[in-house]
Amino acid sequence: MDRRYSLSERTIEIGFVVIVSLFFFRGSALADPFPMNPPRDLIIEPLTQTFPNLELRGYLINESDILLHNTGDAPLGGGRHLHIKQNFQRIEWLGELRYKYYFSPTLTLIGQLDYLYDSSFDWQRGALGKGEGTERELEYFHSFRRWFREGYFLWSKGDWEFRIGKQQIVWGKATDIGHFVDQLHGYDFRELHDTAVDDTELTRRTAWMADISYYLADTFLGDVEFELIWMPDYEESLYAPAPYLQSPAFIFRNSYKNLRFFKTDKPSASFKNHEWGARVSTFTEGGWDLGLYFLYIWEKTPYNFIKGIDTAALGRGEPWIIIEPKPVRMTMLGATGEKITHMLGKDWTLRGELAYFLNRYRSTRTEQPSARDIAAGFLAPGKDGYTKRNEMRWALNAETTFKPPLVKGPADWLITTWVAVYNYFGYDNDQTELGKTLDKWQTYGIVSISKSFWNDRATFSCAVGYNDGGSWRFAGPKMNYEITNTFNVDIGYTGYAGNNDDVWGWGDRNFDEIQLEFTYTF
Amino acid sequence: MGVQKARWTWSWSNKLRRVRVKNPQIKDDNYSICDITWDDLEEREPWWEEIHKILGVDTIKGERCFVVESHNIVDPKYYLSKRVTWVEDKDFRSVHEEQFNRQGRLFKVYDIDWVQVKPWNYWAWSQWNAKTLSTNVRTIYQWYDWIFDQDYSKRWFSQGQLRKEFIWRKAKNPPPYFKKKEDLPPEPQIRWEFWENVNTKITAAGK
Repeated sequence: MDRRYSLSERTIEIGFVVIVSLFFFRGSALADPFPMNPPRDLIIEPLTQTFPNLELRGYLINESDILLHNTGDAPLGGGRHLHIKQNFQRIEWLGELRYKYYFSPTLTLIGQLDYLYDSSFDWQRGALGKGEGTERELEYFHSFRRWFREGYFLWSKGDWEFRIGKQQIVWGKATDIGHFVDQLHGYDFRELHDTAVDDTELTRRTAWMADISYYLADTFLGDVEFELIWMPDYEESLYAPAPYLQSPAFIFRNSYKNLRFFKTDKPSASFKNHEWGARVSTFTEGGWDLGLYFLYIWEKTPYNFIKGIDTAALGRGEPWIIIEPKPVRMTMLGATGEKITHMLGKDWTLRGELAYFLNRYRSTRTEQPSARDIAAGFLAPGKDGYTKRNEMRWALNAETTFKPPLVKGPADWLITTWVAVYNYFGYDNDQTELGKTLDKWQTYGIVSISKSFWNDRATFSCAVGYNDGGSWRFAGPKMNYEITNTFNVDIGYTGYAGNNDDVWGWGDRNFDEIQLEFTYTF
Repeated sequence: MGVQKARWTWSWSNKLRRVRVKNPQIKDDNYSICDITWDDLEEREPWWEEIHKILGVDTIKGERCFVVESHNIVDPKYYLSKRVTWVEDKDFRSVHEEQFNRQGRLFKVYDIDWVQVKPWNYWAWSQWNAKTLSTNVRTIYQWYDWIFDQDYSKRWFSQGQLRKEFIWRKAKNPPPYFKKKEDLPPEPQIRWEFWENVNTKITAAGK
C-alpha cells in the first residue's frame, strides 16, 4: 500500500536533504551563492575521499580585542590609576582541525588539534603586560598538551559506551552565568573576565580520562543513563602571570604585593590522587530531564595557604606573608532539571542547577595574620588562611520568545534570564575574598536577548549581568553575520561597571573592549 | 490548549559541549537559512489547526488535483490568511501550494516533487521548489536516499547519541550542485488559469 510521509512521522524513515536558498532580487544575484573553499576542495576532500572512514573539519579564527580606554580604574585597595599603553588585549589566530576516524561500526577515534598564536605580543612590544614572562606563557601553544586538544577512542556497543583518551566532559544546564556542576575541568584564564560561553570550548583545559556510560530505556523512571568518569590526569587552571593586564597578580596588585610564594607541587600520579565523577540522568515520560551528579576531584586552582610571616620583610616593605599554594580536594553533589512548559500563552524552557560543595576551603578573617601575630613575629599555630565550610550554588533559568511592540515578523526574539545564588553554610560574617568581607548570599542575575535576521544569516544579541555586590557586566550589543556559508564575522562590545571590589567592577575601564572575530570554516 | 504545542527538540552544541533543549520553534519562523517556514515543513497539524474547503479541480503535470483552501482557526494572528494546496486525487500528495499573507495577497508559491521509494513503494518528498514573490527569493530544498522500516534502538534518540556527533549513515548519490542559475529547476508558477476558472480574483505580492 502506498503511503505518504513527512518529517513529522515518528518512525525511522530518514532521508538526506540539501537546501539551496538563493537571493535573486529582480533577477540579479546579490552574492555568489557557490563560494569556493580551497582548503576543503584541495586538502580535506581528497583526504576524506582517499580514506572514506575519515571526517575532517577545520576552522581558522581571528579574534582581536580592542581596548577602549588608555587609563584603567584605580586598583582595589587604592593607588594610582594604571596607564594602559596597548590598543589590543589580544590578536589571536587560531587554527583548529577536528577529526574523526571510524575504525569499525563500534570503534571511533575522535579528536581536535588547535594551534594558537597571539600576535599582540609582536604587534605591540613594550605594552603593559606584554613582557617576556607573559609572552613565554601566552603567545602561542608551545606544548603537546596545548595543541593536542582532544584525541580519544569511543567504543560504542548496544547500550554501552566507553571513551578513553584526552577529552572534555561538560555537565549541567547552566550557561552564561558560571559553572555549577560543570567543575571537572580547569580553564585558561588568560582573560580573567572573558568567560563567555562561546570561548569555553577553547579555554577549557582538556584532560586524559576514561568515561563509561550505560543507557537503560523504559524504566519506571523513564530512560535512564549512568555515567562514571575516571580521571588520572590533573590539569589545573592557568592564570596569566603579572604584569599581564588581566592577571590576578596585576588586578589585585595591592594584595599580591604582600605575598611571597613558594612553588606549587601537583598531586602525584598515584591512584589515590585520581579524580572521579558519576552521573545518573533520566528523561521521564512527563518530559522532565533530570540529573544527579557526584564529583570527587581536585580544585582546579591551588589554594594559597599561609605558611608563615616574615616581620623583617614587612619592616623593609617587602612581601612578608609566606604562601604555599597547594591543590586541595573537592567533593561535590549536584542536580539539574530541565523542562518545556506552556504558560501565559507562551512556550517556556525552564532550567535549574544546583551544586553542593562539602568542606570547601573558604578564606576567613580569623585565619589571617593578626596584629598579635605580627607583634609576636610568627603566625599563631593552626592558622593557614582557610576554614572549611559547606557551600551551595544554584541557578534558575527561564527562556521564551517574544516580539517587541511595533516590530513586524514572527515572535522569534529569544529572551533568557538567569538568577544564581552562592550560599555559604556556617557563615559567621568572617569570610573574606581579597580583603573584602563576603555576604552570606551572593546573587547574580543575567538577562539576555537575541534575534536572528535575514534567514538566520545575522544574529543580534545583548546580555546584561548584575551582581548584588554592586557591579555590572555588559556582553553586547553583538552582531554575527554569515557572509558566506564558510565565512562569518562577529563584532561586539564587552563592558564592566560598578564597585571595584566586586566581581565585575574590577574590570571597569581596565577590560572594556570591542571584540572583532572572523571565522573561516573548511 | 495553547496556540503552540511544545515539542522537545534537542541539539548538541560543540561550543558548549552540551546537549540543550532547543527553544520551541516559532511556526512562521524560517527553517534554517531558507524561505520555508517551520509550519510549512513539519510543525503544522492541519487535522485540528485548520478548516478546509475544496475550491475545485485542476490538473498539474498530468495529475488531477483537488484544490483545497485551508484557514488556521487556532491563532487569530496566524501569518497566513489562507493556504491553498493542490492535492492529487490518487495518493493525496500535495504537489503545489500557494500561500496568501495576512493582507490577502499571494506571496509564496511552491512546487513539491515526490518520489516513490523502492522496494517499499512509499511516497516521499524529493524536492520543494519555492519562490517568495514579495522578495524574489528562491528556495530549493532537496531530499534523497530515503530508506524506511529500519530496526532501531531507542538509544539512537537519546541525548548521548547527539553527543557523539555521528552521521547516522553517509548519503548515497547526492544530487549535483547547482553551478549556475540555469541549473535551477523552473520557477514555480501561479495557477492563474485555475483562479480564472473558479472566478476568483487574486493579487500577487511583488516588488
